[in-house]
Amino acid sequence: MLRHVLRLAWNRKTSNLLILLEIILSFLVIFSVTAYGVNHWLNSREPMGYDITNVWRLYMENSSRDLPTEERLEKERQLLRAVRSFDVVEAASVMHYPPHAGWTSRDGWELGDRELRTEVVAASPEHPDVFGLDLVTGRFFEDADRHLPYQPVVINRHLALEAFDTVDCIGEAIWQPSEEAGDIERDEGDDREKRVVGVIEDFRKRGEYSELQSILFEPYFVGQHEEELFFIALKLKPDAGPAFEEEAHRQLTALAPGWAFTFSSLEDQRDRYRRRHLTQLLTGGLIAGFLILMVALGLLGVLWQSVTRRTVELGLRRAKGATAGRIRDQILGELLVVTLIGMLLATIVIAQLPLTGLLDFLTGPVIAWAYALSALIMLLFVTLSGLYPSWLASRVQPAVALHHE
Amino acid sequence: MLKTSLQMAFKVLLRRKFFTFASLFGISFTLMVLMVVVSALDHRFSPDAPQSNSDRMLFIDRMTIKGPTTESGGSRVSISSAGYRFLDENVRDLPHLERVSLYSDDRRAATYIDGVKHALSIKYTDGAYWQIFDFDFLEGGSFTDQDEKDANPVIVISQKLARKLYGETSALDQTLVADGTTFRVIGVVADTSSFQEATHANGWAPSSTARSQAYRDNFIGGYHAVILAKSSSDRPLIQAELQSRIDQLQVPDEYAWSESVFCYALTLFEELSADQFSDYTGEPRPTKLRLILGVSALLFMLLPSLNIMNLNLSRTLERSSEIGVRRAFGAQRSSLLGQFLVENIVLTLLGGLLGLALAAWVLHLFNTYEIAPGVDFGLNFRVFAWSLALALAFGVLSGLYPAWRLSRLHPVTALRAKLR
Repeated sequence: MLRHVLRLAWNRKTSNLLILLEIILSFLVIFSVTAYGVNHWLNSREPMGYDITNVWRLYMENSSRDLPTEERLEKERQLLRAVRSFDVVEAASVMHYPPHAGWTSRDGWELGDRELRTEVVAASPEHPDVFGLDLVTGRFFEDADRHLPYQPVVINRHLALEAFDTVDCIGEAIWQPSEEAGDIERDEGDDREKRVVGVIEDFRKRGEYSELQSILFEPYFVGQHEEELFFIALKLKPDAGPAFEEEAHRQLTALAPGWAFTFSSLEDQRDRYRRRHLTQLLTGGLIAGFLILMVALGLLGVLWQSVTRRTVELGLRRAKGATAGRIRDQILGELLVVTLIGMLLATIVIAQLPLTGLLDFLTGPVIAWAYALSALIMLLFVTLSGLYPSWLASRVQPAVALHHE
Repeated sequence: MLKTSLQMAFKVLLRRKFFTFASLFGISFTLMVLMVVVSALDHRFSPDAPQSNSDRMLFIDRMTIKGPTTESGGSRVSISSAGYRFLDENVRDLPHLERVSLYSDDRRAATYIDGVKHALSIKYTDGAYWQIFDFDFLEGGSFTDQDEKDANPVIVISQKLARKLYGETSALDQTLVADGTTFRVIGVVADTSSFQEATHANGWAPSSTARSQAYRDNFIGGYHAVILAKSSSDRPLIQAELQSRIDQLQVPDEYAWSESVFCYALTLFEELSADQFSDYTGEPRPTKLRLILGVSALLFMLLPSLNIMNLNLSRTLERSSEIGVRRAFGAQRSSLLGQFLVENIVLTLLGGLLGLALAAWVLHLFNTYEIAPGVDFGLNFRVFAWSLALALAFGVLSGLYPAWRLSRLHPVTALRAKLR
């Protein structure tokens, strides 16, 4: 049966060639959109590693860059004290840079023969009071850490595995000053050895749809740090409405003229982030959906026409004893054979994608899910567009067909 | 000849309604998507208010200071907007220019009315800004260079903000407290689009009224410049002169580590290309942008074209007796080719018309739901012309192969083909 159908498809190779091309392209379109969607879906199921319920961020812009360092540090201490003194504030910490702020700081270096790339976050010891902490082993920073002879760092599971193949790496040095190789953009950094004091679970700072990433926490001690203070993260009491903002803003402005203050709720930021991603997905999905509908209509037309043209052939088969069902299966079978060949060719193209390294989100599970899903969609819509023409073919009357000749 | 072709085309379209529907559906949808994209691009580059003079404008938005490359291949790089002092010293007296305005990064601020927060995004600038850009003033007017000199606390706000703050009452001479400064509202302008960064804000105040004046000494960071050239052909001269000044630039001591400084004055198109494809230097890549736009449009039309080709080709049989007869009576292949091509182009143009209507509807939705702040996408003559060009390209792309195949049918075969 299969050989027979294959031969039939081969006999009509010129007209099938265009259909084949169409199938390949459609499959690629469906696959890219589903892969993008599947990637979002799989990522959103992973734990975030922090909690932003009732967390706000305060962005402070000090436009007087010429302030002497000592004065600036004193101002920063005052500001943090003022923020902590507000009734509605449960806890306040420093985080450079907080989630959804659109700012990142990255670093990369070599550890032995390994190339490490990570996002670097500076956080004060109070960080767990605001964002919670999903500790695997070790501890977070303490105030006493400022007297250590080395720089303590907390890394996430992803980075720990990348650097040491294990999460049991407390006390290990992840960066040493002697190995300055590949040190990028560290301008005001600490040049002491970085030693791991704690490992946390994965921490997806870039948002719930982002991939797992490496992250490294450095301690930030307010009033001591060379880097200017930009962001304070606030955990508010559950009953605090947005009304606290005006009063807080007034007090802070009075305390520090020349600074600009902006409050924003991280939950709002997250909602905006979600909406932006879902809009993108929806737009992509809609466009792909319409493209597929268009191709389905086209296939329907082409098959319809070809069934009309093959009246004689089909009538002859009916006269020789083929049942209506077999005729229907033949037409559908021919279409599915072309579809499968097209999908096979498209698969070869898809198999090259991870090699190009351009689309780093194409990991094993994403490819597997997206491939299965898009194959299902593909077969479904092709079968749907073949239903009517094949039914038409099965209704060809032998007498009419032979008369036609 | 063309008239006959057109008549034929309509007859054929009406003959098989399903085919016409399937083709039109594909064509109109494809062109609709392309038109929406064209409209968005047009909106960004549009020579309408407030950037009516955009063909004479150059923008300086980015500056890069790069240190020497270390052995391991890393280097220290600082990327930011430009600094006021750098712009003040190096851009103001460039040759061939009519005006220069310096304006700040968008400064976030908040004003509170009855406990409700209203977010402000303020650009601090000078009097020239209002002469280079032709904002649409609904009330009052702008501030001048004199206001800037005197640090007059006046502010121009957008219509949307005026409504939010003062409702239906006039905004003129109202006070607005932002970041501890009390401004007097002197003008209200129509809302600007977030697609046009140089003019997008909801408040504009003189640079000298900013709380801190430290920006005046900044070599890098915080400020932008817009240059109005005497004519658009002067722009390359200005760009070259800026480049030569940067080559001889004396960097301040605090950037003694710098090895090279990059800063470009760019047209709107070059600017988009730098945003999208440039490396750390911010060098524009207009050719790459053009290429990518063209290739993506072609790729996007590929699947729909294949679909139309397929539909057209599958009607060979239906048309074969017609082809046979015409060939037998001496019609040239080329005239048949022309006829089929015209038919397809008529179909595409019809689809394009439908697509235009669909695009108008989608754009209306975009504007109503404000997919990006302040955007106002529209269909104007430029968008229409581009759409027409795209529709024609699509018609030729999808019609050439089937027309060629059909015109090559041998008259004998064509006549012998069985008809229903």
